[in-house]
Amino acid sequence: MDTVTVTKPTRAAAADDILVIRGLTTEFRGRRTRIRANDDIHLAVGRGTTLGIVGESGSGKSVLCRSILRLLPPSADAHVEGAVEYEGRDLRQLGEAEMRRLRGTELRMIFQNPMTSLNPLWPIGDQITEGLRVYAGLSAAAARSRGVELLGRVGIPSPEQRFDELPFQWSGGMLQRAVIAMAIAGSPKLLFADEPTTALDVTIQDQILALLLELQERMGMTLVLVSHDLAVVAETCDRIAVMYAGRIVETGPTKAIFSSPRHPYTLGLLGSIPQLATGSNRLTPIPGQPPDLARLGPGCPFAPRCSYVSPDCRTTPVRLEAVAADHRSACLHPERLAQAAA
Amino acid sequence: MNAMTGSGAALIEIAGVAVHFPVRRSWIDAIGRAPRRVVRAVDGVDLTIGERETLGLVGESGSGKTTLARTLVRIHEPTAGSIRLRSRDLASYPRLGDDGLCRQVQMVFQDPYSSLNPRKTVAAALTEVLLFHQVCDRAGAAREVSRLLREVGLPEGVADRLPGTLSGGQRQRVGLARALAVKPAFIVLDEPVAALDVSIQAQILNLLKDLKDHAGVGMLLVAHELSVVRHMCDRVAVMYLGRIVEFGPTAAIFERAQHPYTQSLLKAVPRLIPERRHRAAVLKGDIPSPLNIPGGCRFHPRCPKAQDICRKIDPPAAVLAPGHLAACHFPG
Repeated sequence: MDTVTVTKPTRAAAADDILVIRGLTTEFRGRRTRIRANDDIHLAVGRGTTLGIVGESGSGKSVLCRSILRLLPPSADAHVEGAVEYEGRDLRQLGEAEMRRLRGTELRMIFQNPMTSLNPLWPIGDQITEGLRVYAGLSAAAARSRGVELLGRVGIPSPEQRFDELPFQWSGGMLQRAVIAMAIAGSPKLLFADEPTTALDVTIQDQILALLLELQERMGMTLVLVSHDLAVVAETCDRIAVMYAGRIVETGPTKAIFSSPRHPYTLGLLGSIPQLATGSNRLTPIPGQPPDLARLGPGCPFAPRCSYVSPDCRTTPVRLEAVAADHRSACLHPERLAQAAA
Repeated sequence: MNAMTGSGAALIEIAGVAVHFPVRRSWIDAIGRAPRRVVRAVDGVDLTIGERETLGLVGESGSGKTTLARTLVRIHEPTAGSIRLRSRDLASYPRLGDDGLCRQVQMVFQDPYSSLNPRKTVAAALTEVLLFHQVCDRAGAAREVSRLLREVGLPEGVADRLPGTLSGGQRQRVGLARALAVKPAFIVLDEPVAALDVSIQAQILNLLKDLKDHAGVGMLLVAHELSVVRHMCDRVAVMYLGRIVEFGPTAAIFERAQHPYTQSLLKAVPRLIPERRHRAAVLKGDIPSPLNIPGGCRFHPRCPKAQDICRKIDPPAAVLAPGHLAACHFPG
């Protein structure tokens, strides 16, 4: 992994990067339209760290996870380009059988709605241990005792009794725990969590985030947490990538992103959030709507909503450039933000 | 009964309201003479909302906040207790007519996608409301529609479009315009921004704040997101398993919460503070089922402060500071 200078990962890739993405582009082609849901994504994820991907609906965060794991449905007719190196191997070059094995063991993903990953008519315990029986070749009895242990580990009370229950008997928070148990059954090295707490109450969200971080620490797992909620990633992630219109517009250590944002979109998001601590100051929303991905111009996709815009923003293509050590922004005029802040 | 009384002239007075839903028995249970089970969604609520006041109602899912909100527009009828609008019982209002309930009380729903007719243009949807409730005649409707669109910050061009061509934020504005069309005294907003993206959410919150300041309408804002309530509301009621467990001025609730449930809710909210790495979860377990409400204080199985008395005696709401009440044996 020493060939990074040619392309542009968001941070100089180091030897302990578990995942390096170079120039990943995912395009959906319709009869008349072409939608670039991911446009030239460069990203490196350090082993054992937590990366937060934030953005609003339609920004391409879920497509990014699915492109990496090759989970886009064939019917979507996705045209994917670029390289996704996991442990030095390009996932895009692997055969389907090997990819499936990886997704069942070391590369896992959990989704917003646990019921998308659970069969409503099948006991939860059996679903959690299916992977163990298929990939680790465990006997039914061994799988069961491991399954009970896993349920206990994710905080399900009396797991022995609840092993045979059906999904409808469990609450949303418990089902999300079950899905996490399923994901960690194969001791994954890299876990993608796509809005894992969005459908849950704050108190349950709090429990699930605490559980994910605790498991990560104990298992040395790498975590990619996708969320629309800036506060969730602020509290849980080491690094953050902000997405807009299919691109990463800013990336850096969490602290830098929140203390000195260098992309107007990030700044706009921060201004849009009502603060629990202070209350009733007026919000400064980002004007307008996110762009139609089928009709993007050549320039910065955020230009029509940007309060720091200049004429060249609409015509000049932007790329992620370093604005500080380890901190990159896809803005032609990041200095304007710094001046406004000063 | 009126322990939870606010300040100013009362617009809405809720006294001892309960909303119970009987569960249908299967025939096996009926033969076995199993007791009829009842979901106690709202279980004894006293609240007052003043004229032009915005009251926030927060709680986890299953706390009964949506049921209470819907009872205020008579989607559900209370099983017990009374709701009065400007000192007159809600049930005694006619539905229609100049002083009918539909002219007085309106509701805005969470999902702007399912609450608008996909085959009606925005202008047609608003005109229908205006004519049906005889707010104005057909000749005046066009002018009234453009006034409403202006009021909710939508461009004139939106009038001839179908909901399918509008964004979520725009649809939510149409939903608001439709509620405002009859010039109601009171609007119930059930999670009005929960389905929207952050940047759009901020636009709608600012709009709601303008309406609150200028339209002179009282509002009940149901939200699970505490920061939204803090931003919008004059007073806040915290609901747990069908009861109001804490109630008071917004600043008091957020800065000096007295009930352990409110305190846990506030602690569970993630903040924009990168250094605050996530620690152990503050509240264990799920909210119990409203089919089977715990005895004594209904929060005791999850409460970090629970003592013997909490398991036995349901604490009444007690005034802890002017206008600030909590139902807890060990507040503070």
